[in-house]
Amino acid sequence: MNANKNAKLQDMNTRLMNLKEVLQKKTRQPYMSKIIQQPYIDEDKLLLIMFIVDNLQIPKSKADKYIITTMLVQIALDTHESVQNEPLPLERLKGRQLTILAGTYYSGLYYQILAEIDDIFMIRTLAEGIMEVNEHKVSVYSHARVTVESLMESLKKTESSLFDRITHFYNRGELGELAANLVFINRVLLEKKQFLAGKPSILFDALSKLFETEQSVPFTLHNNKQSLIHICDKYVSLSFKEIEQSIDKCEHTELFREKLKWMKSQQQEAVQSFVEEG
Amino acid sequence: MKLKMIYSFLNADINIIEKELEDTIQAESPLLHEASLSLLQAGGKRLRPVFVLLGGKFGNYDINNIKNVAVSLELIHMASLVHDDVIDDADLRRGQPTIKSRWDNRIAMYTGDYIFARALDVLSNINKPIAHQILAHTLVELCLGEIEQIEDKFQFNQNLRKYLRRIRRKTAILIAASCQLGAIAADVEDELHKKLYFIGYYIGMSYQIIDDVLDFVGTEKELGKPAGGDLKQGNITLPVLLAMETPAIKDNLVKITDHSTEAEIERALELIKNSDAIDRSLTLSELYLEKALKLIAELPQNRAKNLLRDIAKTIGKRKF
Repeated sequence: MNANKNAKLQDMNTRLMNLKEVLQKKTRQPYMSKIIQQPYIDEDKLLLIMFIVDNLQIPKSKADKYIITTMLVQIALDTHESVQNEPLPLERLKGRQLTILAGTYYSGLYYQILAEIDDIFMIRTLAEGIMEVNEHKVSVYSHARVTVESLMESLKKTESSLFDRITHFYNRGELGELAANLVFINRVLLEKKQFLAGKPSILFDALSKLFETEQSVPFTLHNNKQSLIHICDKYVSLSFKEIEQSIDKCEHTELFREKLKWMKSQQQEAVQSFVEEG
Repeated sequence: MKLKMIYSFLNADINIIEKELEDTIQAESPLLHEASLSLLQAGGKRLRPVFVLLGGKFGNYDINNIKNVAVSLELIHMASLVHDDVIDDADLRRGQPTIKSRWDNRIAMYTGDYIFARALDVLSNINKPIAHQILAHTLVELCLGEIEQIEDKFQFNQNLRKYLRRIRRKTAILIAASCQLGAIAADVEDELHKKLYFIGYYIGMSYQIIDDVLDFVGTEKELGKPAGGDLKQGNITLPVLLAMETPAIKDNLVKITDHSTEAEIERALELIKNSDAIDRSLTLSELYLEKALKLIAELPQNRAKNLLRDIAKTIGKRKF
């Protein structure tokens, strides 16, 4: 039984790596590769879309195309997300310029691949996902959300809308929820890590702003650090719980469960070190 | 005559497209909506929608169907402008503050991505795979053209062929695709929509060459942005390439870098303006227009044919 499970895990890992290699090849452009780094490929999201596509029983001929194009869109969004506001010295300008074009190029590739297989449904589905992601990115970034609940919901959408759109079309909302919770946990943990390291965090900036407005008194981040962390931990725990409630309804969960176990250990570690550091 | 006056017989349909553009960019986020709307309201020639409509006039013209193509192509053009302003660090576009200067780079990136996705969403109403294949190919080429433009900055040793390939990708193929996609949406037969593609392509080449000339001879007021911007940014356009055929001018131009002073740039601009490069550039633009006109003459007789011819001729004489 264990040998079977291991073999299956091994197969899934190999497939994951193969898909990653395809993405690396697709996104390579000779001049861009000389000036900017190869794009970041979020392996968790790659695993997730693989898991979704397998659960939706999409025909093999389309399955890999769906995984590749969804990831190209994700890579495009992540690439554009890395464009900062700060003015750059002349020698670094070219890098920013190419980063912008790279993101657009990856979007173009997603469209091209799906156009070649005449899949107008998926073109529309991913386009709707991109729109939704950007709607929520603007809301989170511009501090437009007025409650913690709506802020967290928006943050979740920035990470999950692409997956939501696909699963909803196939009437598998529970699969979408599962995916949304997973990417949300990942994002909150990342924001928390940034915050604790004293680096800028979009989530914690927005949370601080919310508290400042609610309390109508100057908000000192230092004093309230613990309450902000507490809010985030609460949302993470809730999401873990929701995942546990719905995971049994899904198939092909082996790799997914492994990932979950690892994420939980990360969360525990973070809590531990936060408590120890006071 | 102004372009807008020439295509006034399309006014009713252009108005439908304007309205549709406004409806399409209705975002839930007020900020996103405001940013998109500010770009839309800054105006523009709406050249791409006009070419889409004209292409459609050669087939079963139904504005309710064709508007999807027209709106989509204008949105793609708009999205690329928003991102281009971040690339060029531009504060003004059509005389108005750019999204990146009014808000910041991040908002500009989100807005551009949102508008781009809207464009694909709208075009997905056209259930013709070939339309999507053409547009997808166009978008990838467009992007490669921009990447190439960055690669070629301050590369004074490039040749004419490279310049032409760059403007083909950067401008001409989107106008070409506009003509062709309008026709495809209207069920025009293959041979005719391919001809319309080339008409758009030649007009686009001519249009971009004139744009490159105007960057030297236009005023800031006419251009809606500072003149001479191309050379300052290291974009080697046709007037520069032709001016460099004179060794004395070449010696001056090849010294231009991104560290050059305003005075050095000004001197280089004057050298180009006073050379025969401007006239020779316009001659090449004229040659492309002639090619377009020759193909237009082969089109079936209708009002759109006359309009295409008039637009082509006006583009050749435009001042801004």
